[in-house]
Amino acid sequence: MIDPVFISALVFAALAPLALKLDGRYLAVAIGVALFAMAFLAPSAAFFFTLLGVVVIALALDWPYGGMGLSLGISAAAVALAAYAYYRTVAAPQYALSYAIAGIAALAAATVSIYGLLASGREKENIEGALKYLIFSAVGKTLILLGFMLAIYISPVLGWVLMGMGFMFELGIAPAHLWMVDAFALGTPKGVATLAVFGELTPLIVLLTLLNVVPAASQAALAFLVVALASMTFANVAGLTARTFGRIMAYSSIAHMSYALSAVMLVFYFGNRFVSLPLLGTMSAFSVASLVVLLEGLTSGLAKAGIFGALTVKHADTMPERRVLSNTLNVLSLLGAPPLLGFWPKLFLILLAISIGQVGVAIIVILNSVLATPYYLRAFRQVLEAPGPSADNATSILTATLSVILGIAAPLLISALIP
Amino acid sequence: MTEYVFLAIFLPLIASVLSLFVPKEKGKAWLVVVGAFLSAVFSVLAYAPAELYARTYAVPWIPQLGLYISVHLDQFSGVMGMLVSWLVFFIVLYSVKYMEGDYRPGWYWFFMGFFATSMLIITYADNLWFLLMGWEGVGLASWALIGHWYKDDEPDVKWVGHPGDRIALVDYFWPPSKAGLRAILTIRTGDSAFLVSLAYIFAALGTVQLSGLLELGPAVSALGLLPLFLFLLGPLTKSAQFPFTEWLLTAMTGPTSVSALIHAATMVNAGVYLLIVTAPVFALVRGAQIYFLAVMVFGALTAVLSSIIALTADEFKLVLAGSTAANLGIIAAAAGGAGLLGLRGEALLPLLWIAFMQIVGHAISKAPLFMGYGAVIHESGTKYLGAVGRLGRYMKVTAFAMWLAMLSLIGMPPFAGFFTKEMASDNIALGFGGLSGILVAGLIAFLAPLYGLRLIGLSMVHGPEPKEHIHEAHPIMWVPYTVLSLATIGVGGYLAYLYSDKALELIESPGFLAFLVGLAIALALYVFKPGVRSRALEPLWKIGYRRFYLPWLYDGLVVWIYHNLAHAVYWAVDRGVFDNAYHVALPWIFGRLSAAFRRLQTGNLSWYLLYAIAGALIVVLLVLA
Repeated sequence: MIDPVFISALVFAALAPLALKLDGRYLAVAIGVALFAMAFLAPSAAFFFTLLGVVVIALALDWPYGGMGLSLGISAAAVALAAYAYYRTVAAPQYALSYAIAGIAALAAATVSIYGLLASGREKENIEGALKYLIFSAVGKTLILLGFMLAIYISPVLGWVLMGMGFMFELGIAPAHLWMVDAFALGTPKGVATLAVFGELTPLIVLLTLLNVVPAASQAALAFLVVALASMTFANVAGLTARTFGRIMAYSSIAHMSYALSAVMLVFYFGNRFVSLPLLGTMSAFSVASLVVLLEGLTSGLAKAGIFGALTVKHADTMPERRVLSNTLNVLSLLGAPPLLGFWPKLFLILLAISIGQVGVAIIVILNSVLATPYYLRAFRQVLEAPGPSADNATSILTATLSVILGIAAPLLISALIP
Repeated sequence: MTEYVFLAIFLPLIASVLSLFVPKEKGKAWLVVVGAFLSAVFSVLAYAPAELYARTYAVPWIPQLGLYISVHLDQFSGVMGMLVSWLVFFIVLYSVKYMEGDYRPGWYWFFMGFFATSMLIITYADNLWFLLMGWEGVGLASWALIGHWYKDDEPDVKWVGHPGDRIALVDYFWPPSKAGLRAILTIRTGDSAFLVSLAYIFAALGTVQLSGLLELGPAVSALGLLPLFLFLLGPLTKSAQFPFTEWLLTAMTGPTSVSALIHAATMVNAGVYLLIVTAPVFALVRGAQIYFLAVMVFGALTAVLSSIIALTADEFKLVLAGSTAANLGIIAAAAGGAGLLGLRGEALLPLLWIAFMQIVGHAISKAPLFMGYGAVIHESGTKYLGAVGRLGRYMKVTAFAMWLAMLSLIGMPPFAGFFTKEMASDNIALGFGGLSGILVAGLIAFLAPLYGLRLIGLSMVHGPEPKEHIHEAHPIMWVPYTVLSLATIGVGGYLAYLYSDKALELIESPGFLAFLVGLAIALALYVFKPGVRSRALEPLWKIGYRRFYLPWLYDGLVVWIYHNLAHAVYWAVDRGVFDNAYHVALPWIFGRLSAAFRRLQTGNLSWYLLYAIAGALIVVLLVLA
């Protein structure tokens, strides 16, 4: 029997011809409503369906997308599909392989949609940024697919070396990060908003899915842990002298993706075990790492969707041209200020590292948080000093509200996020 | 009875808080007067003639930290409570007229009540943490009231010293704002050590209840001398013992009613009172004789040096301030002497009671003197001794009251001061023992009539005629100090009855003989034949007049050292290390690093892929390693 969620995804794809006749934003809203409704069909991934539905509706309300509205809807549906595949992989291990493949397919769908949105300004810079994203992402997916097959049928170590490299390309981990800065700086703001919220969340969820199917080999995990720690430091140092919104947020994204990658690789190198943490109680280290990955993805994605969703310029390699006060909360969430959403993944990552005896990793993460503070404060100041009057829009207000509400309720979200 | 104690303690504070919401100056004043009066009445109702720490009452606050709202009700706290609250009442009543038209009534009336409650907490507290609240409260209130006239105007009346006077680049005059700061800085120095000592005692013994410590008995002996000496710094600074006398002398910049409050009823008495009520506990500590000896020596030194300061000062209030310090020295020395004698096997509590009685004798003499000379300054418009004289002709009631109070202060029989001072002198003489005891007690007794009658003689009897017409003070001002000065006779009569068997012994003591010699000289020099000058004594007079150059030390040398040390720390540590590290070196390093990292961002896709491939190779190497 074919899963009804997959059928829904196919239905969304079949809606494509409608884009020729209907403004895409209506299609995006319709897909948002449908995702919202599908939360009832897939209770295990209900949190993601609901959240993605609301976010895509907010993005659709803010911008006239034309035909690209369908891309917006498809990218959101791709994340929902990836999330669903992840939860199903855990719930039905006998079908894990199928769901993992579905997750990779969702990643491909998201990439294509986001490419279109990044390039939708039709300026030379937009296309350049989008193309770099497409190339790196394509290489990444190829490596992921190849590595996944190798890991299953030949050698987990070799497979995870390739898969890890693929995720480096996909997530923009240094030194395969350079596309991300150009995509953020040169792509259209609405494309970057979509990239941040859907384009970053999808590979993270797929990473967790694949780790559930084929656990990462210890040797590979060590290599990627080192790379992740180096990458977050690189990004936070490089971000210190970045001036434009696009570049600051690109380095922020590289750092966030590196935090997420370091959490899972830490667990797979030092061994999955039960750990006891404040607020979380006793659970497996991998569950904590998964929580860090998802919260990092949500923090980075939601805040940046709000920040870029408020820009009205052709590309984001500039200062904010109007004051959107709700984005101050989004920037503070990225900084990790308590009790906003961004505080929790960093806290859990530090506690996780300490609980498995890796105080050094915890110190590196703390130092990176400190190192990142100046550029976040610069972004905070840019938001505040932008010309008034205040011009908050649906996405920025929604994401700022979510940063606060999810931040305050984060300890209660654990059961909704961990399968 | 315990309810009465809490009412006695907190009514002045309640009244002063309420006064903040009363718009009219008169309303504020009378509200605090009523609060003080009720407090005084309740202090009488709360009196319990029991032995020290025989009756205690505690309400837990933070028991884990040993903090209880607890009081001890006995003859020490009972008499001290009545003394404080009644003096506060008389002083605030006097203030109604004295402070009329002042530019800062809200501040003044709030802190007067706050001051009274803080002192009453110290008086009754059995728990040292609870006592600390009152202890810090009097410190804060003293700063607020000494610097009450924050505008630093009217230097001839409100400052201490002669404006423009300088010694070796150091100003020898103190406006109210500076005097307030001097007071709080000196007191806080001692308080810091005091706080450490309380924490030490709690950590070592698990309780800071004074009665509880006494009950521990020999277990207290393990405490050692360190916490005792840290503790001692609190009373030494609070009671202006040498070398911390200076703040008390420049505290004269406050309104005279505040001076009366600080010198007679609160603040300075807190230190010596605490020395007395803690003596039975500290006598249990191994090596306590060194502690008591230190208390006695500091006290005696203060008594002698401050008497000389009082003798050479040329301001009405400064003479009185010097005499306060001298009397506090006598009380401290008597307490130290009592402790030493107690360790030698004599009954400790009766000896401590003698030291305590000197607080009473001094307070009821000093309060009217301050209020009376406040009235003199109010009427004559000058604070300088020798600027106006023969006031006995114009302010007859005031002059009468000043004579009575001064005679009591210097220890003239049959006034209260005679009994309390002579008995305290006995404690000192016996504490030192032998000839040294006789000499110290004799010197203190000899100096008192000299400075006392000098003030009275040169202001009330002799001196220049007032340039303007001077009249008697308002009754609201003269009634309180006249009643109190008459009380010196009443209390003297009561003490004569109480110690009738010792009266002859006191008159025959060497201390009283020295007093008589001093009195004869003082009468000759300042009352009957004024104007005698000695060139030979002038250099010595100058040392006393310059207050042993302690102001130069505190305002000059100490400030210079502190200022330069702060500059050195600023340049070497703050600027040299932190500023350079955080604002120069680190930003430079990270700026360069960041710029280098960002130079990878060329925009060229081929290079991007090359870097990514290089990264992939590194991963492979890491896996193979």
